Amino acid sequence: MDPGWNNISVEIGRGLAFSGAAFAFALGGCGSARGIATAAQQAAGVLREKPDLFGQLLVMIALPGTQGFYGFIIAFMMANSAGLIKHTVQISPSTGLALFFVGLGAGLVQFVSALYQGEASAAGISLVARRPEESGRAILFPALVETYAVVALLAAILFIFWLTNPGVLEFLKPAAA
Amino acid sequence: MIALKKGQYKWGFVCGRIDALEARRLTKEFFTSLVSQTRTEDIFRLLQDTVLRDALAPGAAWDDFSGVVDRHFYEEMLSLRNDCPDPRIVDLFLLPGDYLNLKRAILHQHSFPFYPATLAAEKLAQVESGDRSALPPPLRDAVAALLDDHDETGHRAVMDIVLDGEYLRQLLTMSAALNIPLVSAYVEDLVLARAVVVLWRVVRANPSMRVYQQYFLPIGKLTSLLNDVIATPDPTEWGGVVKGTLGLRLQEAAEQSEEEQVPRFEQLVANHLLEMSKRSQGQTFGPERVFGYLAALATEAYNLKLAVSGRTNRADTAVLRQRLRECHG
Repeated sequence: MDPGWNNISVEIGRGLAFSGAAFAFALGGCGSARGIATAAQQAAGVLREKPDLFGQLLVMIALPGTQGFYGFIIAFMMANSAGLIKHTVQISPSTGLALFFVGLGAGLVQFVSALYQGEASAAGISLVARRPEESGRAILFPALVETYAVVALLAAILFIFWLTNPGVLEFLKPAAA
Repeated sequence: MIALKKGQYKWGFVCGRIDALEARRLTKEFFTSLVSQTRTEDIFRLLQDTVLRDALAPGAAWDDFSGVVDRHFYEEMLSLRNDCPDPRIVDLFLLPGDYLNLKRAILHQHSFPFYPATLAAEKLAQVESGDRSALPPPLRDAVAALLDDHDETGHRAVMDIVLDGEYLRQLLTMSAALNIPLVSAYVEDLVLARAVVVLWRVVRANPSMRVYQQYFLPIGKLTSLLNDVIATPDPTEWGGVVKGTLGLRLQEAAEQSEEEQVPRFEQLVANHLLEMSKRSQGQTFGPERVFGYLAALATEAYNLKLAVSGRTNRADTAVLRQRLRECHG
């Protein structure tokens, strides 16, 4: 293949992968900021009347923040796999496109789950305000929403790993006769 | 079922406060226990477990109990109003104070003790000095009609009618402007019920409705229904005219003895409205949540005044128990 064309295709692949990484951390971060704001507003209102509940509410305020970190982890892994740190790594445009959609999909899950987790946290905070003894159960509601952010993170990590290491699943193939 | 608004994040703070404050609301059992007390000391002891604890100093005069309750709940409403993204929700409950202030202004009384929610103190002062241009247009016309058509004695006689009608009209206008289905449904039922109660009392006192048709109506889209009510001379048949939930409540109240009919209807309507507002408890944050809480607050104030004033004046326990309204707690 013409080396010039090869360089261009590598750059296209990298560009697509970096764009996917940008979506992953941007969507995760925006969702987390919104989710924390929703929970924090509710908690601030409760603390205005019952300041002693701060310890019980803090975890529920912080929970929607995890999606921002998940987005960052996905973005870092994608960028690393696409050669941002180790410039010798070369990826094709098709792998870059696949990574772009992995980043976008994972970012969307982080964004939406952070918004809903903020609402679930606010509902849990509302429950704790009325029945402080239920704080253990109240934390379960937002924690259940977290499950899907974690699933998206794991899926993204696996896809990045498989897409950038094409031979990694070779051992699953039946041995040649 | 009436849909609640979603995604009202900016209401989070005030709704968080309400979550915490809601635990302090009193239950029906508390009020039942309160009206069963025979000694003033026991009433005082029971009230020590309520939000009024700080407001009730030992040895305080019971005569002013209604004032103590009003002040306490009024301050809570004002405090919530400051945290509301849209204070008009709270203004719906503060509006009666505006009209009491306005009445004082028209009567040239210098002090306006209630919080001016929709009518600023400066405007009230202008009205008090005779300048009606300070009032918003619909109210200006009503007050002009009131002052121009009558002498001092005459306008006092119809003032309450004019202001009652204007108050109900403004409630409808404000709820329509808020554009919240639950609030609109609540206010519409409230306005219809209040108008029916006013007309019912007039029928009992004096069968002529001409003055009311002139000064009390129109009341928005309820005008034609209220004209039908006026055209039916026997209030016990109004249930068939009004129809719907309020019609059923009217029919139920009509089964009582004549002097019990209006209080019974008021109680049934209050319970119906509270039930309607309880729908807001399913909302984590949003204007309906605030509205529902304020409705509960107003009911609690009514029950407290009824129970304590009733018992301190030796009213019959059974009658008081019967008059108690349902609670949010």
